[in-house]
Order: sequence, then C-alpha cells, then structure tokens
Amino acid sequence: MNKPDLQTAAEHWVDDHGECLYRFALMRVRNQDVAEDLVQDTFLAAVRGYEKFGGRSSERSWLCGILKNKIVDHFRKLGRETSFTDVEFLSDEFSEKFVSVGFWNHDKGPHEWKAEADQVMHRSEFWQTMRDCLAKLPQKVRDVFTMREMDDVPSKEICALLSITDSNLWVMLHRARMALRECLEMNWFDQPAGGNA
Amino acid sequence: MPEEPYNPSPIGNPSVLARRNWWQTKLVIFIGKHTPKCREMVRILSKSLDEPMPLAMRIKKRIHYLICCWCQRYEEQLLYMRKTARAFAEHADESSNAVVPDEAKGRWKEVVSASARVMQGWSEKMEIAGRKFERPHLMWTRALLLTTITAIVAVGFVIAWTNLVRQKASLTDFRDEMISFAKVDPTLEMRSSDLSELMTWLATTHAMSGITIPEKVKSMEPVGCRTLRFRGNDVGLICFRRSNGRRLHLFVADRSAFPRLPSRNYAEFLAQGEWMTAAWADREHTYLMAIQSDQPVLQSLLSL
Repeated sequence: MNKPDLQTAAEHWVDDHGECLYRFALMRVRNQDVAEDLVQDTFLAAVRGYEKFGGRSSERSWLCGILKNKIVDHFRKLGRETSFTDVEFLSDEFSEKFVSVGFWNHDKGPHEWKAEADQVMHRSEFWQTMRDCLAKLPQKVRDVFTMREMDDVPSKEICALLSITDSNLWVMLHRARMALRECLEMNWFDQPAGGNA
Repeated sequence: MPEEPYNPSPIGNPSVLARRNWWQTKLVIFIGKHTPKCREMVRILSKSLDEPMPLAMRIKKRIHYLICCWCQRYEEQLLYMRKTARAFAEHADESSNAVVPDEAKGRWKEVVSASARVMQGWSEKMEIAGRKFERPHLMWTRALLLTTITAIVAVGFVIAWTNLVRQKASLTDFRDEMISFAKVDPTLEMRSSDLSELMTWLATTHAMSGITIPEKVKSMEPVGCRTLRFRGNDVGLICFRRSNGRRLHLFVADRSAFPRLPSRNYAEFLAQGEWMTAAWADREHTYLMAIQSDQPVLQSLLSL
C-alpha cells in the first residue's frame, strides 16, 4: 500500500489523533500548555520520521509511542526529586487485606476478574474508570507508575531520572499497583456494569 | 490469637489444596510455613514485573499457589493491569472529555503542514541529487571510465607493439646481435655434414622449412645447425666450413621479422669489423649471412 502524501497525512493526524494524544499528554503532565507543546513536538517528530514508519503498527500506536518518549523527555528535563510523603501516605492503607500472620484475609483477598481483557478494552467506561483510579494515586507515585507501566521505561532509567533508589522505586510501584488493582476491582470489576456483568 | 494456626487455604476456596482431609491439612500447613507469606508474596510479585525472579523463588511461588488462589489471582491481575496500562494512551480519547483548544489544533496543523512541506521539498532535492548517482547513470559513468581505460591500454599496447615492430625491423640490431653470436663460435645443436639432414632437423623441430640456400654455399661442407631467439622470433643458424677452415654463418628467420629486405640479387651488405654481412629475403624467409671476409667474397657466394 502506498503511503499518502506527507502533508496530507500530517493534517489527518491532527484531525484523527490530536484529541487522543492531547488527552493522554494532559493526563500525564496536568498542564494544558505543556500538553499542547508535547503533542506539537510529537507531530513534528512524526513528520521527520515518517519515512521510517513502516506501517507495522497502527498510525495511532506509532504516534502514541512518540508522545510517550516526549513525555519521558519532559520529565527528564524537569529532573524532579521525589519525596516520600506520598509513599508514607500509602504505607498502611492495605494492611486490613492481610491477617496478622501475613496471609490474605479470606474475605478481602483479590476477587476473580471475569472480564475478557480484549472486550474490556473496547469499552470507553473502562478507560474512564482507569483514568479516575490513576488520578487517585498521589502525584509522584502516579508519575513513577505511569512511566513504568504506560511508557515502559526501564526501572534503572526511572531511578536515574527521578533520583531514587531501586528499593524506593519498588516500594512505590508495589503500592501503586496494589491501589490501582483495588480501585479497578471496586469501581469496575465488582460493579454490575463492569467486567462481572 | 486463635489456638489453631491460621488457615491459609480454607475448605471451599478454589486453590488446588484445601484442608479437605488430614493429609491435605498437613500439606497446606507445611507449604504455608515454607513459602513466603501472602503479604510478602505480593511484594515479590510486583518486583518480578521489574526484574527477573530467581529460579528458587519461582518454584516457591508455584508451590505457594497450590494453597493460595488469591496470590495467583493477584499476579494475573498485575499482568492484566500492565497490559491495559500499555494500551491506555491509544484509548486516552475515551478516558476523558478534555477538549483540544481550537487555537492549539489550528497551530498544530499550521506547524505540521509547514514542516511536511519542508520535508517534502528536502526529500525531492535528495531524490534529484540521488538520481545523479542512481544505478543507470553510475553504470554509464563506469562504462565511460572502462572505455577510457581500455583506450589508454590499447594506445599503450599499440605504441609498445610499434616499438617492438620497429625493433624487429631494425636490421642493424639483428646484424649486430648475430655477429656477436657468431664471434663466440656457438655450440651447434645438430652436427652433420649432410645438409639435407640439417634441413630436416630444422623443419621437424622448429618448423623451418622452405629455406633456400645459395648454390655456392650449398657446395661448402655443412658443419651443423641450431636455433636461437631474437626479439621473439625463432632464428635458425646453419654453419658451413669454408675452404680456409673458417665458418660461414647463415642465419634464417621468418620473413615477417624484416619484411622490407630486398631480394638476394639486391642484398644489403654491411661490414662490421672483420665481419662482412649480407641480408636479403625471399617469400618466406629473411637471411643474414656472415663471414670473416670482405664484400666481394660474400658477393661471389651469393651470385648464381
């Protein structure tokens, strides 16, 4: 299949994927101006790299991949330091899930998620729930989690980027995963309209 | 604190092992004691998403799952969350209602179009530049280069060949060299006093046939013959013994070596020291006769 003319293709990107890229960028950086700039940089990088786009992935996946890199670059430039106030905030939140000897409390252990993963992904309500659950995470913990799980940045790089140790990273990721899992279960999978429906 | 140890796998839970009988109860307690507790296991499972889990721990995890369906679920759910998180960006437009400001959208289009135009212009220039070096043109250049080299080599060859021909055609060189050779009284490869025998030897071993020897020379006593090389040509040498005991040397080469020589009646005579030479040619051969004498003697030998 022939590639469309670059200028035409680039204008289509703005119409077809601009909204998606902007919303993702905004969710990540929580600043409209920065999000707009990141999306613009993404489109410019896509124009420059269009020749290399082999069509192996969808156009949107390709653009999202570029945007994720731009977001990581943004955090890299910020060079922010992470305090552990947020981690401390989360430290004992799920202690009631376990009995004193360390096993799961049988009534509060993970429920079975019956959702067929691929079906869930086609429901916009799921993504809204996920965004809401992510939004509940303390900001710095969310930054660490999104970088690791959404952008697939290697752990070592995140440590270097945020000037934190490996153990701090693992603690933050563990708490974030636990919180997100709990939130998704409560607000989606255990709901009649959710995955169990 | 209950007296009975906490039951990690109560009856009715979907784990492989539950305390359904004495044997299973013992096994559940044993596994619960010797594998990480669930609180620790969830930390380990989370860490395993960021770095590989050691083999021993993987085995313990599998054993632990026998009594704990919750940890197994937890791991499955972590993996599911990772999968959905990776796909989140592509569904970000479904996750919120944030609207792109019109001004931003307009700016993106403007900037992106301008950049695309520049890139297209650039790639067109690259294409034009690339065309100059593309294969057919390159092949034409190569062909021209090869032709030039071939022409130079051919010219060089012609010059060299011309020089060679000139050298071959230089009777003076031939004469000088043959006299030098005759002076050393060369060894003869075939010795015989029978002229026909010598002629046969030359004809069979060096394809030299059709040699015409002047009658007066024929009447002399043949001594022998041999061949030698002069500038790429075979030269036959037949020696005769003169009445004074000295040798007469008759050198015979192919006609092409000295094509411009006159016939025997108009032979070229040239003296060199005490040696006198006569050179002539017939249809097939070039002849050079050398004796230690003067021109009249040599002339008389050539006369019919």
